[in-house]
Amino acid sequence: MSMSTPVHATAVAVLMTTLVLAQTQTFAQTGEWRYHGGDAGHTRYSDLDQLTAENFEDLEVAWVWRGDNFGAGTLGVSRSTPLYVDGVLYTVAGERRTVVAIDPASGETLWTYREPHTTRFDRGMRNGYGKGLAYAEIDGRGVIYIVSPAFFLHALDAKTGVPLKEWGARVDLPGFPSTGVIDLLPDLIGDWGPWQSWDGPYDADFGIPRELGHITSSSPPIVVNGVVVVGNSAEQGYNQTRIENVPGDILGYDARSGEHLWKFHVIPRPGEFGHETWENDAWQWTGDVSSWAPMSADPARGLVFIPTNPPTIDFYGGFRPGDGLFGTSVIALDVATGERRWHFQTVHHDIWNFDNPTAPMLLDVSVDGHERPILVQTTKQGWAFTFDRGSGEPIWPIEERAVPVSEVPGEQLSLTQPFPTRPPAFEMQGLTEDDLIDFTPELRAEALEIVQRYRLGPIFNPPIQNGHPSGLRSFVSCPSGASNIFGPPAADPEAGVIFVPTLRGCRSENIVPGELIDAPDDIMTTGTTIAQYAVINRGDFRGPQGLPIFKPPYSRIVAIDMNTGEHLWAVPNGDTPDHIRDHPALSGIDLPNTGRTSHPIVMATANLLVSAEGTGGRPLLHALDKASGDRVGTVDLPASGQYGMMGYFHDGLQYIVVQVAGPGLPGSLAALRLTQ
Amino acid sequence: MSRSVMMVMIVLPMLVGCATSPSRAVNTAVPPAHALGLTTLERVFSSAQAGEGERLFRASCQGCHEIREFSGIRFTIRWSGQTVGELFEVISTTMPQGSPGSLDSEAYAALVAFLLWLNEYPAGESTLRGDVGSLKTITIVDPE
Repeated sequence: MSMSTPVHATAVAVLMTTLVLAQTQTFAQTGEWRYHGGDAGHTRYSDLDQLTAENFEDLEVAWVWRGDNFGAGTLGVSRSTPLYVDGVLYTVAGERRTVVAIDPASGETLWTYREPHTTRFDRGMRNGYGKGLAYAEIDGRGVIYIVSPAFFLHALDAKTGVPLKEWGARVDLPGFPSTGVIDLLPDLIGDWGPWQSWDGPYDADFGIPRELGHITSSSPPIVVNGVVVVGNSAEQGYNQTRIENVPGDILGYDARSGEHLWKFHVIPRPGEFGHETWENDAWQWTGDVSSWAPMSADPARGLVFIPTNPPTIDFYGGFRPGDGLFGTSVIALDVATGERRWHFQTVHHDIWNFDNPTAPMLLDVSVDGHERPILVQTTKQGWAFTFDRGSGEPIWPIEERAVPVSEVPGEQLSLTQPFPTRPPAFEMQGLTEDDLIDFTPELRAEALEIVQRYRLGPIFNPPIQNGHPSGLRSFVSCPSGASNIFGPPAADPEAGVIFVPTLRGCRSENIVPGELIDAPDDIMTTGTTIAQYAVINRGDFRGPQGLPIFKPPYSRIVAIDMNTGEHLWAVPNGDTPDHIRDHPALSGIDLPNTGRTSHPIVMATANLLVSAEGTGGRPLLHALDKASGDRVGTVDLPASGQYGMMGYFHDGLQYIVVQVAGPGLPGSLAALRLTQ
Repeated sequence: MSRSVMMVMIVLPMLVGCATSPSRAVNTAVPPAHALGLTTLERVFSSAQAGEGERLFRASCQGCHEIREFSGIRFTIRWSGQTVGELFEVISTTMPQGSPGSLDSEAYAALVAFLLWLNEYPAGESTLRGDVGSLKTITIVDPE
């Protein structure tokens, strides 16, 4: 392993001192789905074995729970993966993230809980992004925890939906319950310099003053050993134009009382580890480093694992020189104290929107004859970073390799970036002319003509600004989101195999003066200082005649044996889409199965890998052989599957719930079970 | 940021009988927009069509996109000076992800109408037709 600075070396140097209480990861309890990702290790694995290759096509839709009428506008997307605990399903619905309890046999709504309206909600940039809930048992009673778009934490009785008594602190806003809720903002900003210097009262309805920033949430909290760990989300970095924002610090609360226990500074303060990675005093006023993707945890080791986003503004970071810890990192915190046990920064000074987009997965495997508790972080770059989850030591070497420098005025990129040496990348790495479409000479010629206007390059290809002396229109960054939240990976923890959905794609952003696109009257615009550059997402890098500019496969499922780091198999996601198969320019061409142009979604069961084709895919659910990837069955869904699925055992039947949406169906849940 | 669906619902009743569908619009006394070499300031779509476009946006686009990406300066800097036909062409050949071209042409026209409405171009009685040739006669200009 080669690492260039002391800070980069910390994943190795800050070795665990925590007493390891148990070696094994706790997988999904048979028949239940108690965590957002099935189990605390986020394997999205259901060990139920009623479904087999032989009976899969006997599955039928038992019920569809529709997500209509949970807000002023119906969400045409289904982001939330339900929980199943003690005979009840729990999910969130609509932009308000209304909590819903559902009968698992009939789909009937049992109870709902809606947070009262606030201006903070109106300011939210990710209101419709709710991915689910957390659950814990306190003194034998089930409790549902939800972080709202307005950034309140609620604790509800799982049987009734009633806010917990003598829990949290009173929120003095109209309609809020007198108990069972916590306003998270005072705990977040109370020790933050810009807020302490702010000359004005705290306004619980409005939230953080626009001049300072705004924060919201998208993923659920996670409850580990009696502590509710709360992450957060910021405005999308590709929409930002101003350099100030609030840091997305991690908060810990007592699950029993709601008492605030600790806070971890994701942008280190003076004297804290990593502070020197912030130059230009940017730590004082810039923010983000949010943990918008779900978290995972190892309760036996008392660790919670947090994937992070870059600091403020994507594609330009000239105002925040330095590596910028703990931006775009995986952080392991002691859940009892909030203290950092280890971390690894997967991208230094990230400007590529290479935020870690899925929960780290935890498995126990055997590497070179040694039992290893591992953490796997799949990334937008197409990599599976793999660490010993107790120590943070890379399982296989991760090399710091030289990468191109930026020519954008003021930008200072890291001279090196970390590259895993194993497992191999599961997606294309950069874009060269060899990667371009070549179904026909004409299409290839068109593609070659298109790319003449862009700067191609390897992974970490640096942006160029509009008006660059080269005359090029923009840069191309590939892959743009190989692993992403649209199709989180799953695992078979017993075999030590992960199944990674990957989508081939490139992005080409235009870098323009920030003042050109700043929107001062937009309530979502925060901060005061307009960045020298910001990004406008013009999406103008398109292939010839509406076809992808690169060769297929366009999306795949890749199985990786984490005992060896070797790819076992890879198969296209679904079948060649109609718009490609029937494209006039491809008439007479013998096409391979290109796969869809969407992220597949996956879940592993005892006998099968179950897969849907993703947003815009056909409304089908496939069963794959876990050992080979061969398709062994297919059944209809009421609409395309998207974002995720889950499973449970209820009244003697194995169910699969697929998150679906499509024409005529808003973001909904479709439950399937074997024909009775 | 964006105006709400509710605004469409308020405006819509006033337009009943005028241009609730593209085919009916062609038969009204109001000349179809595509025949005139117009700009987007000249009421080339109807509120009802934009309302249908917003419904489609929520159903087909919201999984990956926020409305905010397509409003204000981010829209005009990209599209000002180009034609509605070019906007239609990009959307209809690349979206939705996973199944580009899977909506019918009138649905794509409604989505374009929604984007124009979102950017505060005035609505009228005419509607956009799902025909790229005619849409290329309408130039996108800066909103007033």
